[in-house]
Amino acid sequence: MKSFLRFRIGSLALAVGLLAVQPTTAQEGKWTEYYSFEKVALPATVDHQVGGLTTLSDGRIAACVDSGEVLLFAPETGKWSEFARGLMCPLGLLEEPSGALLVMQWTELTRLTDTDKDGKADFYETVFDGFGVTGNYHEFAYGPARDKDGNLYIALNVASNNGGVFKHVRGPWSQIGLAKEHMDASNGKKIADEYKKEAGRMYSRVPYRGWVLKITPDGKTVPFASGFRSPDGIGFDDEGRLWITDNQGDWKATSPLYHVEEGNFYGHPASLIWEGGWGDRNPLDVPVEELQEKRTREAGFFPYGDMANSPTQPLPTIDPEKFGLPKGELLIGDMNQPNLIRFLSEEVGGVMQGAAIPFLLTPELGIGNHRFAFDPEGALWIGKTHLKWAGDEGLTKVTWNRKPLFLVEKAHLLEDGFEIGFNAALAEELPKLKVSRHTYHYHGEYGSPRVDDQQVEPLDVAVSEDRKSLRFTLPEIEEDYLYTITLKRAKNASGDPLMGHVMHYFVNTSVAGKPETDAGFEDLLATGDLSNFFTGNKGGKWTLKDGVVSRGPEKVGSLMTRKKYRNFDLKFEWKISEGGNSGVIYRSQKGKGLEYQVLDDERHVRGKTPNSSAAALYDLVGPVADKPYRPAGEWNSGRIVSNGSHIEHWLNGSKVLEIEIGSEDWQERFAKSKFSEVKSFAGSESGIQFQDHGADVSYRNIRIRSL
Amino acid sequence: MNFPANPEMRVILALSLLLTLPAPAQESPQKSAGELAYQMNCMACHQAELRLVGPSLVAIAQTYPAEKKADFIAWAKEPGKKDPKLMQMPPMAHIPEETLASIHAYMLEAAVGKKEKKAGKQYAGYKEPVRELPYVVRAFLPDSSPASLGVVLKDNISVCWDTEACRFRYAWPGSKTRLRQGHTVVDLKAKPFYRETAQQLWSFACDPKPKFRGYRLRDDGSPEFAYSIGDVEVREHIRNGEQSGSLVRHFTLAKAVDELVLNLEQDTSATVVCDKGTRDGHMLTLTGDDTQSFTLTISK
Repeated sequence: MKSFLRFRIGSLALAVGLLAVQPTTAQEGKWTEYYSFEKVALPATVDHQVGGLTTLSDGRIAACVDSGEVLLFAPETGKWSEFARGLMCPLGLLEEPSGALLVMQWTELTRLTDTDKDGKADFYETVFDGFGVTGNYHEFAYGPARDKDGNLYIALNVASNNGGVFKHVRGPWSQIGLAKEHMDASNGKKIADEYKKEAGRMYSRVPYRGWVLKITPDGKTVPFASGFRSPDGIGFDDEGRLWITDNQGDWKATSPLYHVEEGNFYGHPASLIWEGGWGDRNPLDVPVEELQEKRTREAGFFPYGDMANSPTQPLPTIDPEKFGLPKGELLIGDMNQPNLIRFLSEEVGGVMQGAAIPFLLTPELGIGNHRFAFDPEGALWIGKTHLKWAGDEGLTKVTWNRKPLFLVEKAHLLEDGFEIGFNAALAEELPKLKVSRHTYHYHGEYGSPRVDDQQVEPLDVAVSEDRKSLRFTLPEIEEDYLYTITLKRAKNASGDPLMGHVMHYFVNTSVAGKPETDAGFEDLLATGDLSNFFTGNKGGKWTLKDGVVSRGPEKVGSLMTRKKYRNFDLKFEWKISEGGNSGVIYRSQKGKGLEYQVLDDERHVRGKTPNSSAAALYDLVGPVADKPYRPAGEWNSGRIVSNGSHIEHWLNGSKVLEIEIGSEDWQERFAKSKFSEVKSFAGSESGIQFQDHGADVSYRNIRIRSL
Repeated sequence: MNFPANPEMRVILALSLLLTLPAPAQESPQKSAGELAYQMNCMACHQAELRLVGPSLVAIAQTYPAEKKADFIAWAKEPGKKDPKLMQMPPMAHIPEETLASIHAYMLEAAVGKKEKKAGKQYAGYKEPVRELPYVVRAFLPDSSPASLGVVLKDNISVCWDTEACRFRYAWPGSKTRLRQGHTVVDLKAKPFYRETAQQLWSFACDPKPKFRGYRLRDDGSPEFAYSIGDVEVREHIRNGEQSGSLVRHFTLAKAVDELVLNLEQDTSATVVCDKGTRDGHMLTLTGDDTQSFTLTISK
């Protein structure tokens, strides 16, 4: 059984003060002990900037390069051959089941087919060119990514006012904004300084710049999501979720990662011109509050300077036996630092968010990490580019040497803290924990400074009995903040350092603040008195002070709602006194019913038995072994979902048990319980009782919603 | 559950933890704070001697000597654009001023005794190989849409073919295959010897807009473009003509139409000959089976 040993970190002054000037991502272990890095030569006749990379079903590697070729690498001969040529800024490759290759060019998505089987494509088929091109230098086009139904997704940059547009543009020109005559880019011309502001720092004057488009197998186009600026990275994870990275700039405080869903707007307003029913408003004139309301927030942030000033392709990890990383994560490229990023995602309150953790942060990796593919043996091929920004050229192959890595494999937001899971037990000497957090402005300026950047003190730290999990609480969890969690000198039991000891977790949605969960709830203490309750019959009274209802040291009898409930969702917070016992009893008759146990597990004898420990369904079902329990004297949040035969108990944001009344499992448990003789047990509605079981206990925030 | 039973034990646990902590590990004790901060925030774009994405440290040291530290900090927090050829730096307002000052100090130190090198040395680059012709390449070509292709034939003949309008725009004397010049329109350095000027070539064009389907490369590398105009599917194969200085456009329609008129108006003085149909000035009329397959030969 996993339980949490608790201790306090006395003072954060002990945390390393050097961090203000030290790179927070600096590694403590050597990546070269786990991975080897090898350059793979490209032919001398092509540009070595890699725009797309993929592994073919026959094991060959396909790469497209900035001079316009698609090249194939045969591992058995170690030789490259040219498959296609003459393409324009190809930035993505995808093999089709037929063996044809899809390539995303500046102006179209193209299918390359070798119809005569001579090893070279002879059919350059236009799959999709239904988007505008102005000739502006910033109109990169990315993709395609393919979902499980065979739909293709491409992502389109907006144009920059550092460049203008050609006389001939493709696509209908929107009249919203600066007159086209002032935007002429022919003969090396630029937008004059006095017109730049009116043009917008980034603009979308032809269709779907700043959009992600979906192209169905039968050729239909769906404008899928808007608000992008420079979405270089587009890809699906193993669960079929679409992830897109974007680049810092106007309306992009720092480079973000988005979980992209249909119909959403991701923050850059230029693209809104092409939204159905938009009308003729200039996106530059839309108040920021309206955009803020309209936009969907990021799933992750790469803090500028610390990692990925320019992030690239997201790629799902593969079989852990092959590359050493857990499956189900995303790897994301970093153009500016010798680094890749692992992104560990989780769903909180219905939205995806998670932690970015540096990976392979070592000079051997180099910068410019743009496109990725795992070969059949599990080596990671990395294509580099710069396109005249920071970056590099060429191909690097990274091979795991099978030495196990000590890694963070879970970054889980709790209602009032975090749980960090490791793939091996922590050493006796625990890491030094340091937590800071900051937010960013959402605005049209280029990037945002860190706002409200503060260290926060982890109030207490607990390690699980198996030492593979670390929990801590924070005074508060703020939404729209990026939390940086640093575990200095973290080692496993064998003394291996934690590889990737800095996590940047973006709290888009906090556990407590799930927007939908409070809707429809009635706060039973909102009246400011106890008028919603019967307050005891043993001569005393429960007292209500500052929203907290307490039994006190003397016996008063149970507190019970006046209203009766059967199907409901009840949320409450509880604090038990040392050695104390209480409970929340529901669907009861003559005091016997289902009970959410409230207990000091550490001191009360019933704490030793799961079925009677805190959050148990008393004498029937015990909570999970690693329940996020907080001891006597601290507030815990509880939740009971009672819906027909379905029962759930929650503790501090985690579901700790569930059962179906009447199921085989239930029948067995019920027969063994002290309730086995009670007829129609748990069948009827009743008032909900906050039990006086002989000990002081407090409750607050008692909210209920009938189901 | 196995929790330490009393509070004192927790204290002992915590104390023992504090006592066993080793001295803070300096990742790189020899590096100054300024150097570390430079590596983290600046190095990707600013190198000591090389003008890369931004100016070199040598150039920065000239603009911001020690006495201009405050100017350096102010610029870094709110950069403008000094050099039109370089990207504008994003603001570094998130970096504390004392750190910016340490970066400045490091940059001055790192620039001492160094000279700026010419940019572009960092990458080997590549040399355009001698291409076998014909060679088909997407490029930004003048007087055409950004979605255009260059077809470089033998015999110093090149063609601009616009995939947006689905039409042959012009032919010019040239054999250069590196037709992409960054993101600017390529300078062909030659006047077209043939350019079609009619609003529309085909009598059955143009609404809805023609649809480009792609191109096939024949064994000799010459392209055959495929497009549809309304419900008419057209293939247009472009290659060198038999005669020196000529090129051939061979058209194939999926099915014959009753009558087809092509407007071959040009603002050049090339000779255009069709193997079928009748001519009246610039207007070429084809009927019946002749519309399914015909060849235009264009000579300088």
